[in-house]
Amino acid sequence: MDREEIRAKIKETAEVATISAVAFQTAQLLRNPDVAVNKVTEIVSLDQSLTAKMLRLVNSSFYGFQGKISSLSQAIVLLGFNTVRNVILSVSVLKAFSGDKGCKVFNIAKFWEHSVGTAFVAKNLAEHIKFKEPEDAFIGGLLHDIGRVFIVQFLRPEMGKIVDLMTKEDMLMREAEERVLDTDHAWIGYVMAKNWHFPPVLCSAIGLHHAPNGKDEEFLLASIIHLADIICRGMDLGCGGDDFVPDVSPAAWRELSLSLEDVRVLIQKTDQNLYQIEEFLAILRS
Amino acid sequence: MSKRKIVKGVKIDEVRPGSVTGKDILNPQGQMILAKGSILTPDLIDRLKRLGISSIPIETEEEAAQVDLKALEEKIQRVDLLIERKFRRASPDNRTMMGLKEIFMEFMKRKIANGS
Repeated sequence: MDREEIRAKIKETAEVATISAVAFQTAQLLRNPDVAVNKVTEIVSLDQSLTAKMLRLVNSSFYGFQGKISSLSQAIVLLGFNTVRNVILSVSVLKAFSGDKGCKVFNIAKFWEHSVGTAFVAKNLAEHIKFKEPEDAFIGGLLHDIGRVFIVQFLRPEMGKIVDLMTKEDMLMREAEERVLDTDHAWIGYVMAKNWHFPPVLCSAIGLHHAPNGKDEEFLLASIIHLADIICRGMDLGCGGDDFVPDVSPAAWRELSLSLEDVRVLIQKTDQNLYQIEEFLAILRS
Repeated sequence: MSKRKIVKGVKIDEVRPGSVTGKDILNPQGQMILAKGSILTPDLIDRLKRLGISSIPIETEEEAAQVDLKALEEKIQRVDLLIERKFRRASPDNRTMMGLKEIFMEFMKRKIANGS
């Protein structure tokens, strides 16, 4: 299967792996900072389960309003459009894939643990370097490997080959993907995010998280996700596919202009979030 | 983890409030003044001192902690192996990666030392 065939397959399965129409519309609406709150609540309330899960998440200890948020409009007022949009997108994407139990060669529970862990590291990192949208870093971290879920779910025979090759030649899963599919999960994730009309900066961060480049915010966000993924691997939080801590991209390291001491601080900060990571995972799983 | 409790005599001036008595405490006449399993408050320690008690049998888990030292060493060895394995691709010339490797190793070892 080559790139073109995979692209066709992504298009063809877009119907199945889609996020709910309500989430899609909400994401579109919330990109406009002038949108009326009641317009948003009107649409979101059409999806009962989405609303319920979103409320559970915004009431988790992570957002600091434990149990105090009882409606979507209140959530928007307290947390802002950007956070609410990201919570809705997270819930919807995970819902779209919740039926998947992984397979013998791919542990889906470990995978989501890695994803949520990366989200927390990315947010801490974004705050540390004063990136203007730490929430974008959070959702970028959460969904950076979403292309892998697509491979597991829709390209099952290829996934088997990828894991065989990876094990036999002791390589990164991404390298094995490249050999088997002629592309990798980052590109697949990018195409998916574009299909879902995610904000462009988020699409490119997902697509570029292994080789950050581009300019300005796009480069910076991709670099944040890139390093967060690596830190999460080093902390042994879950498993995204293989057990390597791959080399940090020198370009990303320069872009972030961090010292090793900064990384030490970030690791400690994330270690204090372990309870929140567990809580987040439990809500997503429910 | 084994939690074998032992009873050790502790000098009254060194007894920490919150410690638990490991035996009944008797006065020189053989009458019981404090039952085994009592939690010592500063007030109680003071009263025992005034009654002329110089040493108190205290319940501790000190020996159990010694036994765990071996398990701790094994855990630390496993961390070494885990981190070495994770960084098996990194070149020793890559200063950033070697720095990260050291940080992760230290982080995990500290976690073990703190009991998780």
